[in-house]
Formats: sequence, structure tokens, C-alpha cells
Amino acid sequence: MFEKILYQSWWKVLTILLLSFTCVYGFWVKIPLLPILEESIRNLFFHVPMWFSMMFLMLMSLIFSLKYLVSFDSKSDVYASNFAVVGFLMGCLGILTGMVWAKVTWGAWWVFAEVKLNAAAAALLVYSAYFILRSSFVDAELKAKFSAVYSIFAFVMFMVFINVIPRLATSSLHPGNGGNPGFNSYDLDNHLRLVFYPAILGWIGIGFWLSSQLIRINLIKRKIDDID
Amino acid sequence: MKKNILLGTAFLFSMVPAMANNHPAVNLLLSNNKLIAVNAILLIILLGIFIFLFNQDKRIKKLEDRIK
Repeated sequence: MFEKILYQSWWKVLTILLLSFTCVYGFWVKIPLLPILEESIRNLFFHVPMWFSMMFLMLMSLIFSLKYLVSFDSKSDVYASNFAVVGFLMGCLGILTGMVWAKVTWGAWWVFAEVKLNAAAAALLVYSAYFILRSSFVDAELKAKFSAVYSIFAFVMFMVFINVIPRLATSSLHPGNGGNPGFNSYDLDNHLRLVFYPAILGWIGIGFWLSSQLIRINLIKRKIDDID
Repeated sequence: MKKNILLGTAFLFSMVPAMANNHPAVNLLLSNNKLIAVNAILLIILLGIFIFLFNQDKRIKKLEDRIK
């Protein structure tokens, strides 16, 4: 069932539609002109959905890691590791777009006192360790087992860093953290929602698309190397 | 060829909401050249990425068929 989806085109066409819509209408849509944020609020259609995409891909990586630990099917390891690769890429893009936004609104590329920025960087480091761990094994079976176990830990730490610690902090510049009201409560109006939700689906779609290609390439490699 | 036509049509249709929503965007299109330029560049990059991804899909499919 899941493998079939990888080969279908409808969701790829949908991704194209959603992202094109985001990139066109996202620049024209009427926005609430808030002080400091002003036009930069349009970055909401890029920065936040990239993190959503990362969360989705890391969740997929976790699911396939668990599947590997249940079945010891090496294909699941291929799925898990490649979802993590693209998820990491999405996280890096999220950090970059966030840095641009920070420069415009807070006046600096990186605010070291800002708990969410540091937590996001730490979350990426947790996944960097996942890739280092994978590359340190020669034996494929050991590599798959250890990385599947670490993947569970990494996902939990990732969620704690991104969603728990920033909310526990006493102060934060990010909306919805450190006692600040979130975007939802006052400035995510219906005009923004009209682009924001399609943008989330679009960015998840492109992340999934890239992952599907990496997975298929790696499955071909395995067949050529006669692993399967 | 069919896929390219489908892709082109999908791409054009995705722009319709911006034009048809009785929105000042149509007026802005005529007045704000900078934004049009940014939009156009972004769309060209995006289109390039999509074409690249579809080509990759085709190549992968060929390889898969070859090793079946």
C-alpha cells in the first residue's frame, strides 16, 4: 500500500499546485500589517511549513524505525534513514528562513537568548548524531538496529526541544512560546490561513517527494549490490 | 509529452486563485513591478525544481524496469 503511493503521480501534481499557489498568492494576499512584523509575516508560508514538513518526515522515520525493530525487514531501515535525511534538509531550510526573519524583525541573524532558536539547533544536532552513528557502522544489520533504536530517542528529543522546552521557558521572542500568545490567537487571520494550510501540505508534499526518490534510488542500489 | 501538458496546465491553474479572487492583486500586477519580478523568479526556480524532480522520477523508473 505504502510502496504504491511512492509511485503514484497525483500527490506530486497536488504538491506542484499547492506550492505554486503558495509562491504566487503568498506574495499578494492581504496581510494584517502588524508593527515590526509588517510584510515579513509572509515568511509564515515558508518558515513554519518547513518545520511542519520536518516533523512529518521525522515521524515517518520513527514509524519505519519501529517497523524495522518489529520485523527486521531491511527495507524499513532504508525508508527510515532516507526520511530522516530529507527531514534534516527541511530543518536546515527552516533554520535559514528563520534566520532571515529574525534579521528583519529582531535585528540579528541569531539571538542567543532566544530559547526556541537554541532548541531548534539542538534538535538538528540530535539528528546529526543519528547520521554520524549510521556512518560509524560497517555491518549493515548492526547499523540498522542501532539507528532504529536511536531514532526513537532522537524523535522524542526533537519534540521536546521544539515543542516542550520553548513553552516552559519564561520568556521567548517566538509567538506561542514563553508565555507569548501564538499566531492563532490574534494575527493568523483568514487571509493568512488561506495560504498557510495549503503551504503546509505543499511543503510536506515536496519533502515526501524527495524522500521517495532517495528511497527508490537506495532500493535500486541494494538490488544491484544483491542485498535484497 | 502528455505529462508535460498536464504539468503545464496544473501550473497555470494554480495561478488562477490569485487572479480570480476579486483581489487587488490584479491592480498590483500592473503597478508593482518589483513584486512581479520576485514572483516570476521564484516561479521559474520552482518550475525548474519540479521539472528536475519529474525527470528524476522518469530516470529512476527506467532503472527500476531495467533491474526487474
